[in-house]
Amino acid sequence: MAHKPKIKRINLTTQREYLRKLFPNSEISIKRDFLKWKANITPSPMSQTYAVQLEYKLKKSPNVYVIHPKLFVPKGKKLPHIYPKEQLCLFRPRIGAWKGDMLLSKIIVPWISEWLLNYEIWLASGVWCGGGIHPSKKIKKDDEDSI
Amino acid sequence: MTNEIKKQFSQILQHLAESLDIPESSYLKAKEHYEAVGKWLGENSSPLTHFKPDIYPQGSFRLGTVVKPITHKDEYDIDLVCELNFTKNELTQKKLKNLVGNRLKENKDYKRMLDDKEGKRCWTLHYSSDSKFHIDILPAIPDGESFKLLLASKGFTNNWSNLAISITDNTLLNYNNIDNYWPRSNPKGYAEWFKNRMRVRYDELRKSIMEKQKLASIDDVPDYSIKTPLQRAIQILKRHRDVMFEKDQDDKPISIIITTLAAHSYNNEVDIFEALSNIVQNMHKYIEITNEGFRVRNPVNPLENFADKWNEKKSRKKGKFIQWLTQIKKDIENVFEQRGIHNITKTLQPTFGEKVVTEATIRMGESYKEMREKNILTMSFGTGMLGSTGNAKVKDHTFYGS
Repeated sequence: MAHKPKIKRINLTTQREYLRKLFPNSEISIKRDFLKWKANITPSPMSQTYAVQLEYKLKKSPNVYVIHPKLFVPKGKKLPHIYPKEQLCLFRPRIGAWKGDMLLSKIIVPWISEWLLNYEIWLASGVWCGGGIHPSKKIKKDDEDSI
Repeated sequence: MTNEIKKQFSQILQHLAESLDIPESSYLKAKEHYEAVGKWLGENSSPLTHFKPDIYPQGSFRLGTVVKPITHKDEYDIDLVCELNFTKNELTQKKLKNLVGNRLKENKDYKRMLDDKEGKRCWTLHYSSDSKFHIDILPAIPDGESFKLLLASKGFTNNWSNLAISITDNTLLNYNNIDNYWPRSNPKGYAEWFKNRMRVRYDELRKSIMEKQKLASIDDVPDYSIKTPLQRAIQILKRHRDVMFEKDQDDKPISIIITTLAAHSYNNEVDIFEALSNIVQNMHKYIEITNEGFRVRNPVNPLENFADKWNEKKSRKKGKFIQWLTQIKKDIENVFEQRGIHNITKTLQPTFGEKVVTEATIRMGESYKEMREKNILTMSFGTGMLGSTGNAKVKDHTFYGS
């Protein structure tokens, strides 16, 4: 009879340790089985700085929110890869890549930065460059049109 | 201003210049066209073959500084020299011009494509509207020896005078006379001077392309694939000029002046931002002030002043040039004050054109994505900045949701 492979879940204290190393100035709090992390991320030198919040309950997938600034969506456009209440969609729940034996600092945090960069590029160009299941508008490499 | 910001700005400028450049497919099409013209003029069955025709591009196609036209209606302007081995004793400017024109007309396609109005100095072939090109063919004869002597008589020597040519001009009074007073030019010499100004970066890039593409020798690297920061900076300058003077064509700064001053100012900087910055800050220093007015000497013909029109009575050209230089400095500074890629794009768009800036932004996004896919995208401690020299790797994945 097949059984689920046992994963060695990383405890919140360890998660906090690594998050602190990565972002020494961030705020981290643990309440029983619930970790909350707040940090300022600047995805590229010329990007804006975003205040993000990560909420992680053991045995569940982490949730990430952009607290500030408010994510701007041009009129008539729909921001891709976002859940209601400005929660970022970084991977597919259940089927997705998150497992309890992964480090938030190593896996999730870089994806947050990347999401923010792609958000800025999407605002600038209308194209989401992160790949994923939503087909992105590919630029025609040798577009003959000028301007 | 931090080094990281400068580096990122350089990357943005690189993507912008790539978006401004003639697409490779169009470039190769253009090359096909002008090589066909060259073949027609020079092949064994051509009446010109006895005169050992040397047919070669000049201008921005030769220098690698072509920029896309501003609108769909404008065309790429390809300049082709057709140099025939004659001396001025043997024929008049008119005879030379017509020798080339007649050979073109012997081809029924070229005959149809020839501009109704004969050009002052060249024959113009218009390609069908979807090709977006026209080729200006400039009949010429070699004039190295005579030019060298002329320079010497005025106290000048020059490395590239042996490449000089004489050309025709059908508005001149002596157009139909046998004499020595033909207009001069030196496109090959200018191109050599230009290459020399960026020699270090050019050789470096050529070597790196050879290694990346595993070619047998540096001679296998096509010239057009090498683009130094000088060439990129000139493309950006020209586009800025095109947009700024879209409705003021008469007095806009001319490309040869922009190119020459930029090349003088360039010091083999590796970074496009450094190159562009130094060029716009220092360019004006290479404009001379003389008794006759302003002078921008042709670096391969000290007797020629590219800015001669600035000194004509009531000319607004000098003022327009200063206006342009002031504006581009302001526009570059303005970009630095922005935070957020979308705000940078918004600032660049009115200056360079909406479509090319959007394309440049997408190129940037794709390049980050490529880095992640190749497993070389990293993130830095404390800031979360993405790049190639950070502390934490960004794992490949997919974004789902919504």
